[in-house]
Amino acid sequence: MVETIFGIPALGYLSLVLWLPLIGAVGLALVRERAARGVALVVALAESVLAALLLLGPGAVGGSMDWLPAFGLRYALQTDALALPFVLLAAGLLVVAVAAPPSWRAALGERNPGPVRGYYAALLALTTGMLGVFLAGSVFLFYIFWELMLLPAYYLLARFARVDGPRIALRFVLYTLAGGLLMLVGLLGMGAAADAYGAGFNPDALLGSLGGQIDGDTQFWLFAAILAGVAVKIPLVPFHSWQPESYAEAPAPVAVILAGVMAKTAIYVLIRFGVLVFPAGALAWQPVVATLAVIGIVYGALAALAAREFPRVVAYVSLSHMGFLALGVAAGTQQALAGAVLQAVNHGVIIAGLFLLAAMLERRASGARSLAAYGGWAARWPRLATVFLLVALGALGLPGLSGFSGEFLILLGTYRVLPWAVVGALVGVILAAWYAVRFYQATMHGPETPAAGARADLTRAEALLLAPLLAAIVIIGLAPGLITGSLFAWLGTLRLP
Amino acid sequence: MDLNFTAADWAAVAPHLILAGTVLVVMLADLLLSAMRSRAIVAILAGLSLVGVVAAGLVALWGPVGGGAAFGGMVATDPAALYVTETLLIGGALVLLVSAPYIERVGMAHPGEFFALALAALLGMLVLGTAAHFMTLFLGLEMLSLALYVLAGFAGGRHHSREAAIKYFLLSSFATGFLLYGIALLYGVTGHTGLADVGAGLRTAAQQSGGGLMMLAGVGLVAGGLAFKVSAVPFHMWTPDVYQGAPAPVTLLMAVGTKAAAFAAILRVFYGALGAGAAGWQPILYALAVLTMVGGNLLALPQRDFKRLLAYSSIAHAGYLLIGVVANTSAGAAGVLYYLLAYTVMNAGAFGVVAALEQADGSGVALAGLRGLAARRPWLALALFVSLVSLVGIPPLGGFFGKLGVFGAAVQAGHAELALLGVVMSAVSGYYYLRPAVALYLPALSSSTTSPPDRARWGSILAPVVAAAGTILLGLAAGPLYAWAAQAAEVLRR
Repeated sequence: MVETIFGIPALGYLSLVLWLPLIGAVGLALVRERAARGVALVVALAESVLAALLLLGPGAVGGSMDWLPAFGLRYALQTDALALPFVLLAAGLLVVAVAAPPSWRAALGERNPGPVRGYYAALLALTTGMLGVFLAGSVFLFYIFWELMLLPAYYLLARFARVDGPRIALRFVLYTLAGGLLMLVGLLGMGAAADAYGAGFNPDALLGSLGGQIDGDTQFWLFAAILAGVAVKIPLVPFHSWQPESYAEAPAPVAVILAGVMAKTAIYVLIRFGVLVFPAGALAWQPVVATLAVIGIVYGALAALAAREFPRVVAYVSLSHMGFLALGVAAGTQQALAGAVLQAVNHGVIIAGLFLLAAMLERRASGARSLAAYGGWAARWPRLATVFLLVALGALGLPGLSGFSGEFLILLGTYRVLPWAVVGALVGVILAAWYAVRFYQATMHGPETPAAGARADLTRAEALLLAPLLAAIVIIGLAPGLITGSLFAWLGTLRLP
Repeated sequence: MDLNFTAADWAAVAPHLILAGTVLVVMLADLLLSAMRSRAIVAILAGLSLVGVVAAGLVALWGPVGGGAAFGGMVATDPAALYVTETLLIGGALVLLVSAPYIERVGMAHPGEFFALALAALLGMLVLGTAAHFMTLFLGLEMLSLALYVLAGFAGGRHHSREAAIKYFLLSSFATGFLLYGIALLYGVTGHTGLADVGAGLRTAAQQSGGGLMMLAGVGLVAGGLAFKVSAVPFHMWTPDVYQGAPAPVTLLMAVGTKAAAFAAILRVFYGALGAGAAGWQPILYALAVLTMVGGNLLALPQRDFKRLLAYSSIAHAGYLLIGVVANTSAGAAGVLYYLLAYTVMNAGAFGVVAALEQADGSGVALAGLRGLAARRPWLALALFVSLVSLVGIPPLGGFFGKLGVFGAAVQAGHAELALLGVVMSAVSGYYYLRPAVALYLPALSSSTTSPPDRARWGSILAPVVAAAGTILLGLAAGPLYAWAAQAAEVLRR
């Protein structure tokens, strides 16, 4: 691992990448409400530039200093082929979420839409939490950021969710907190395991070669603890009940961040601190995780078919897609892991597009969210319809668009070890085509609903908001190697099935 | 016992002496100042008290740290004693910072007696926390209890306050009786009352006769007496009523001071002196830890009064702390010590805000009233937010590292199930801590928007903000501070 980037210490540069959003969040306290969005946007753009520059640096960089030696806690930041796609996703979607109109933070016609500054500050702080998980090079450091994500997310849901915010937020937080704390016991167990193998109470020791060597029984339990933490956040199916309403009732930009990035922190953690550290444990849990993942794929797709409100459809689509990611990680082969990372980016982009489109449709239908209130808008708003079609096709995994490449890699990599799971997942692929056609037809085809009136076709601001997402869907679809190239090289250095 | 005390003996108790002197100075000043306006009296008395506490802290810090005990084995003078002393004095200073604006705002009578008694209680805590002998331990316990009996009833016009005083007095007397009986039984078994001698005596006795009922009863009674002071379940019944009824600054003093001092004593008795014969007491404290964690957290869930909620949650924290004692390792003791410091600071933040909101009649601290506090009192809300988040144990604040310490020690000592229960209960505590924490930043419910006029705005903000800053510092600067706690834990058992 290289210790400098662009001639400056890597720890310093990565710290800047990590803390810039939080600094921006604190800085928002000093500006006026009207200026808040502008400042947040500048911070988000600067953040994405800093993150993008990492592409030009050496592949794997990092640095560390001691924080709490008694627990092997170091302030260690690093990025490599695995972390970089996630970091770029987080920075990119932050720009999208902040660039969305501030009025979207509340439902149409809400009398008390809430403070703009608090809203953007929470979005920025949440991003620092997520980046911390992706950049952490020390076990307890990652945990610190994992828990730090909770507070801004709690605030965003409690204050800005369309209905019943405090209850939805509390449910989300308690689920996640419980999972996270169980994971903490696992991390303490990692310390104890390292201690038993003569490395002192230092869980970081397991991140090196020691990880694979500890005995299978210990690996089984430690992997279980990690799994408990991420299962809520992915979410895997019996632990998902917080997800649909949280995503659907949150303002669209918040849903973009929650579904697009926060859920990915769980996938990242499962790979980095689960599968790669405890191969034997992961293998033992493989049938369970794969089964839950397949159930999630099918259940999410069926629920997306049945849901009436469009944002809720999108939330279930997300649930189904996350099942694919979990399946890829569970399979644990090179192809499946690379596919999971690729699909993490793709899903983030596509789900962001769907949530933003949902908000645009809702505002055109005077606040109506039910698919029954939509219909026949393709003729009236052709540009909106075209964009919507592109994103919908990406969501169903049309070859040539980004959604396909990731799903295909996952299924290919999984087939070698879990052929039965692929069969189950393919059911989900078929259902995906069904639900995508259903919600597209319900909105754009059929008789035009009277609700649609004064609003214009896709405005320039809306087009600008969606443009980077569409570009990503097309470009990654045509050249997935942009992401998987370095990933395969990196995975090749590990001993994977 | 040798009664020829050396200068080193007196130097070892310099902080105690300074506090005792301050008590006298405050009483004298109260007498001389009685002609002045009450506002000035409160300010001067609080200032004098604070100077005394800070001076005691600095003298302890800069004075020589002995390696053993002074006064023929009565008072401990080691790094652990220093650590506990500083923890208690930090808590005491925060209590004074909370008290002055509170007394002025609610117009409490007899400020001179209040400060003198608070300092006397603090002195008792210091004696208890640094006791190396059952007699000093008992002396400290009685001294702090007597002062607190009066303080709990200090809001005389308030029915609940008098109830709190009586309740605390009756139950505490019983508990102290149990403790004394336990000490007597242990004396019967070993022929000693010095902690180290009792420990050695019990080891010999255990080897000769394999324990025996008397020894078990003695250990159990001592555990029960101390468990009462830290409000461990099932000795917790008094806590909610007393915490709720007493004036908020007194509640703070009880919550942080008594608990820290009593836990220091628990560490010295069980981990330090009786550590080698852990089989005798570990099951007792194990059961207490489980009951306390579960009981405290579950009972806190339905509370609607914020002060009462904090009372129940402080019971829960005693449970987490007991985990560190049960681990019976130096890592566990270090965890307990660090937890105590973090606990002191973050509770000072939470109770400090309670003190800033509480009215003379004890109202103003309903949970529902916290909603929208950020819009009315932004600094107070921020301080409370930080404290509550730290109380859950969310990193990177002080409370997290305290929990990391005790849970980590439990896992290392082979009690992963205790750590597991601890984290599950922490998740439960997320419900009652995080809900008010976020409610602070939600729009106020229409009925509760009328904030009472508040004259001592600046004063009431100071202590919570300082405490919140300390909570953050205990997280970010955990490295050196934890090393200090670990070094203190190292010497507890020799």
